[in-house]
Amino acid sequence: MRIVLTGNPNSGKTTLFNALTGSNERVGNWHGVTVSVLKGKVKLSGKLHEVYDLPGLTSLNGYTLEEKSAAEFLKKGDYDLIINVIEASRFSVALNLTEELFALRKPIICLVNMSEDLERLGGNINYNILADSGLVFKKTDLRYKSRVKKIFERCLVEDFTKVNGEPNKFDRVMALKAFKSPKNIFTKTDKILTNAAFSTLIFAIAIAVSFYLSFGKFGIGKILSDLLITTVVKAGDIVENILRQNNANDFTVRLIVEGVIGGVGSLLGFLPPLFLLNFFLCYLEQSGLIARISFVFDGFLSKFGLNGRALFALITGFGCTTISILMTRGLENERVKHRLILGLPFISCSAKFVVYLYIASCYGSVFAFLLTVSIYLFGFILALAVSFMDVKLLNENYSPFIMELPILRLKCLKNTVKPLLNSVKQFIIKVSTIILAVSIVTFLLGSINFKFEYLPSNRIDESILSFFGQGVSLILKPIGVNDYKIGSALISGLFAKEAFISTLASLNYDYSLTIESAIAILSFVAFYPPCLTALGAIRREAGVFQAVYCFLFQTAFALLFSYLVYFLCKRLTVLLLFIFLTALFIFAVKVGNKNEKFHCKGKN
Amino acid sequence: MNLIDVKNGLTVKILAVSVENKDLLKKLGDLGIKIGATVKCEKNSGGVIVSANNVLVALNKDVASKIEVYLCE
Repeated sequence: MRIVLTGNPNSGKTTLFNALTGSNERVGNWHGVTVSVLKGKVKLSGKLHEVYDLPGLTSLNGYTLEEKSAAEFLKKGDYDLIINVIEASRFSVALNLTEELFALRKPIICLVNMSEDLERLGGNINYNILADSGLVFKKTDLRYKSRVKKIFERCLVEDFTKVNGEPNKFDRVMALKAFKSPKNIFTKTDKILTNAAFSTLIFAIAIAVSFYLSFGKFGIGKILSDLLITTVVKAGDIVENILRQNNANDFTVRLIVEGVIGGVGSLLGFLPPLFLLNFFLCYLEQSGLIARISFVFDGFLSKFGLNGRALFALITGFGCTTISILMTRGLENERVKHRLILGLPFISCSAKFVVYLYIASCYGSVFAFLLTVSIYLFGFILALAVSFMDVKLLNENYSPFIMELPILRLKCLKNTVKPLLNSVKQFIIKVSTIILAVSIVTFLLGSINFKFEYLPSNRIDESILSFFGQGVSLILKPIGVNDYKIGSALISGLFAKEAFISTLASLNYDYSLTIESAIAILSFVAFYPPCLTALGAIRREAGVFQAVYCFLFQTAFALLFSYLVYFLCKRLTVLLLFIFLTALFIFAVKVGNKNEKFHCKGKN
Repeated sequence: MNLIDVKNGLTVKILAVSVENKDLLKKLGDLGIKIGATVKCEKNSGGVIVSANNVLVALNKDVASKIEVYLCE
């Protein structure tokens, strides 16, 4: 049987999908988390069923791009059963879609979810009255994964027999009678959180605290990270000793110690700061705060040709560029979507965050903190600047913005932990698959020459990797980097940004960079093209041209920007003198203007 | 008057929704923002948050200025 999960946005469809199929698809307390049709399989009562999770929609007409794709799927009718997931507190609105689904003449079961929110706000649903409406409505609680399968199994066994075939009637008036609406859904907390000044302040403090806790000098992330890195180094030494004692050959020892432990192990040390940073992002999503902040920031973002909804993608970009590019489907305007995709690669993802910490930490934790925060901030400003230039070039008007605000759930630690653990799991999977593969390939290329002869560590300069790395490092000469290891790391960084570190670690990089070169190289890493997966996402969402354009534009920009940064850092005195003279000039012009006005007034 | 002119916390009835985009008009209707509907307004610098049909809908100034309303007693 083909089962389709549909319903209003943020009603819990993907939570149900994950529980049924064992998937780990993204969930969040805001509208438009799911942006494409997801497919999975579930075995219930010995039978295998196909399950489709659709993006949320309020009607079959669809407003945003993802709503339209969901509506199209439903209208095609290529399925056997509709599961209409309804958020209890939005019951009356959900009946619009229910009525339209009824008109599709397919078997429907309505699952009423999140009743606890409705009851907390003083409302309720009378299921005895609802039974007379003509459709099957079932009260469910999708929070508990263990119960969900049982509920669903019962649904299919008991209720599907009732609804098998076309539904005969749906009495919307009767259904509405069963609903006692909540007293006041706009709470005092809502009032505070949608206040521009207050929410901006909270947002700024939350970002600062999470950054500090993640990698500040006395932050827990930094302490745990140092501990893990020391452990990995010690583990490498122990393994090397054991292997040498057992007469293992040099190639095997180096492959395991440098390629595997050095490459992959060095990244695991960054798990604690990454965990803390992701905790902050997950909490914003799960609590419903992100939707309120995006509304507050709508006016500001509109100046850059974007709207409040773009903030979802921008903030998600701090976690993963690929996901943030896919999130742009939630935007109703195709031009705004393309504009946002232009700017998103400038936002530093969590993989780049690891690179910043790795390089910058060599120059002290205060320096690392300040440099990382500056790069993040500057990336955000650049993303907005690119959008601004695009909107000015096209001379476009501001687009309208409407958004449903989800119910606020400030006590949502349990809901936060799930996606957080999932993101950590994804990181570990990535490290143990892609990064491990890149590390081993890097090590092998660094250990053989073009005649495929094994090279000991003192002849690594003759390796294949050295040849390609030197090619890349040629363009980095102006920033004081003339090392094939950095060049090689930049190439592997194109597969996954974390591979930049694993490559340097497996090549035993000795941190010989001057502080100016380190800043310049990090500026390059911050803005050079995103990983291949992200480029693939750009191709899918905006076409091949934009993906190629992104690659070329980001490379050129990163290169020129890193040259500029290096030049300015090297000539700090010249820079300060330039700033002083510019300020003096502006001051002189302003004073001149005032005097002119004064004289003009005098003459009049 | 339009939604932007309404004082904070007041309940109003919608007289007209003069949004040109048909999809947006339909979306507003689906969310309960349609002619004859009674809604409660909360203003802020971003625009207006309307409480309609037990759903909180945030409208920016551009959209809010296109919704004509009158005060309910």
